[in-house]
Amino acid sequence: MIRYRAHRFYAAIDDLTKVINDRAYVQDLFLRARCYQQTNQDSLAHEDFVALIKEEQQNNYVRYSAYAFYYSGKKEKALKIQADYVKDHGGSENYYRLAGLYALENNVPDAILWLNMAFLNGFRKFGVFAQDESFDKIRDSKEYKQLLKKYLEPYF
Amino acid sequence: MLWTNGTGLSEIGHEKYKQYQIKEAISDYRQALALDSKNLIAYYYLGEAEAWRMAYDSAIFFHTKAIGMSHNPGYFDRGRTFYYKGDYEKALNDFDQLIAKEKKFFLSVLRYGP
Repeated sequence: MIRYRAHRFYAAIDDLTKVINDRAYVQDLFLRARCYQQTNQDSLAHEDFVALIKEEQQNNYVRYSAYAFYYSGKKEKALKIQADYVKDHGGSENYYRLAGLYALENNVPDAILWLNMAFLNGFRKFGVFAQDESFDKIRDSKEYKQLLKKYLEPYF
Repeated sequence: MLWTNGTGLSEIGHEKYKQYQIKEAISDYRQALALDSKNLIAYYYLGEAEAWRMAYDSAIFFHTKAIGMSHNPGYFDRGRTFYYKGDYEKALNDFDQLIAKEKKFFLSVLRYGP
């Protein structure tokens, strides 16, 4: 992820490919797909997205597949899948992922709503949250800053 | 007695940290360092606790202290903190140094992030 955020996409692809050739975990496939997209290798990105969606569907969970649909241009489907999963399973990490999808859409009210749900249900990965690209579009909003302040303040 | 021992205090602090009693944990770690200024565990935990509450400069200071005590995994901890802070070049530098010293951290570095 660090190489991705630092825009070292080709180095990230090389590292990820070494790992995926050994065993293809969904998080590695997702990250490589995003690197392929950033380097205009869309057909390779599509292959990784399809592989991870298949893996998650076969095992009945949603972790990266909603985001795979989102970044494949199927935004409504992405939101529906994640929202349905949240409805069925709850859980702070699932709320967080739904918030991320709304944030990608620059939908501040819904992103903040689900982020708040995530924090209320125990999500506390502040550092990860601060670097999650899903929230880049809303990071400067006053609602985002207020929410972060609200949940961080008790720890000072 | 446990409370007169820096390592014991660090462990007590860590129990508090795990329960999100961050201020109290940090106080224990600092007391542990007051008892033993070479307490690697206290430096490590202080770095972790400060990073957790997004006090990155303070976290980097403590992780640097740990690295200075030949604690190689400190490169991962500090690199991760630089990453949280958004200082990607320094993060990569620490991660690369760590992998050069200990290849077993390759996957941890590769996969770290949201």
